[in-house]
Amino acid sequence: MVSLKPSQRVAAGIMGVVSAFALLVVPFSALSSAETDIKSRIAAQLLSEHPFEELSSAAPAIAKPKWYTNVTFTYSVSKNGSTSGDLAEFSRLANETLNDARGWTRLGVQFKEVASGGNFRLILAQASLMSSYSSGCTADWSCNVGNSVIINDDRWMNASPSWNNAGGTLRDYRNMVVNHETGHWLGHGHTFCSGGGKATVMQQQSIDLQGCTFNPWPLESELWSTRL
Amino acid sequence: MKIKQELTKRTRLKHPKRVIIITLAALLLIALGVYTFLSYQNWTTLQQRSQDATSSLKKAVDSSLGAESPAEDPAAQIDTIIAHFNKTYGTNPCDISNAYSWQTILPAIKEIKTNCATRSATAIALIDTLKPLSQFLKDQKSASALIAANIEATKNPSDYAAAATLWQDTTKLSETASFKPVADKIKEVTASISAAYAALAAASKAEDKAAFDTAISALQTAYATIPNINTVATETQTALITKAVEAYEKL
Repeated sequence: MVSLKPSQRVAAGIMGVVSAFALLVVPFSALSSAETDIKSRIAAQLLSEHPFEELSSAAPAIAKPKWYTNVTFTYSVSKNGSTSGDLAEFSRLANETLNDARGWTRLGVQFKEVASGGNFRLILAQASLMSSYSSGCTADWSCNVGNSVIINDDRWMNASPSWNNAGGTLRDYRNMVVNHETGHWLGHGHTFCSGGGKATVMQQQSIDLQGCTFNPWPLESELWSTRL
Repeated sequence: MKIKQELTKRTRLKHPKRVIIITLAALLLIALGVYTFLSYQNWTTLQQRSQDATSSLKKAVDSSLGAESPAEDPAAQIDTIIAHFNKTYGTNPCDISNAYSWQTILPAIKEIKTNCATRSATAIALIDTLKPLSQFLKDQKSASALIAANIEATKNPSDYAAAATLWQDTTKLSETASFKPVADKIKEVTASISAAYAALAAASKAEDKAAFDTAISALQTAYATIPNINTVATETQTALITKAVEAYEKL
């Protein structure tokens, strides 16, 4: 038997205690760690599904309906002086022209008649009273002054010699003259025939077709407005 | 001589009685021994059965939910555990014949019975937390599928009134107790989306631009609340899981 010194006995005793402690504590702590791991795994597994997280929260893009994008211009109808043209018919035909799918509505605009005021005034005027609107207006033709779109009663009833000579119908003339004068209000000036083909609606077709063919409706190139 | 004769007579008379008594006593002792042995076996079996049931349930939980590589469908895993429990605890592991049940008057036996009952109660408590959790996970899946279908169906809505009706329908939504907080939040969100679509329909009919713009904003706001469903679902799910893990710890 090996005999130990007292100090060696104490050291051996401490080592013995530490070893015993290690033997007891280490397995328990390892067990505890394993338990924690498995609990964490159970919790993680049960929390692994989040189907609501995948749902999109972006609202669908709502396409603007036609009525939303359309600009509505309002206008009132009246007559000035003694006219041969019937005001009710003038009102009805002018509204048809203004809202015709071949006309200025292609700009994305609508025209709505109101009882008074409005964005512009559409006037059927006695020919002799045309000059009362502006020095630029004459008894022969229709014209536009500011927010007044004035249709010469003589032209409304008879079209123009040039138009008639070219074989244009009165209804087409009426379409053309309303579109032309409203075109001025929309911001257009006069244009001229260039190389034949269809006349632009802003050409002075009442006076001379200049080699173009009559056309009551605005061309694609005319689809713009300073009012928009 | 007379005395001798008397003694012989007495001995003759008493001898068969003693044999009977001794035999009966021996039989009783054997019966008692057998009963004691059976009692011991029954109580030991009960104790073992109860311990086995608990440890097999724990193993079932560990292998299905505590696996290193978890399965994709936790609800199915829970259902496997519940099925295992039903099989193991189909007959109460603490049940014992009336012939032995009286023995619980003895403290040691009472302890076995009490420990068994405690272990059973712990297992039942775990299953009681797993059942609503499984139901919750299933409800969550079907509800999210419903909402996803509505989102898809109204991706490019043209009929706003139809979209409003679609979002208003929550009849297919689960109303189970564990899922109710989430169902309530879903109803709140879908109602606001439905209301926004109804407002869009009304604005379109009236061709009211301002109302149309307001309805579009309302729709965007309503959609932005969809993640709130996930918040409530996660909270509810976490609470259910915490209960389940606590019950598991007690196994």
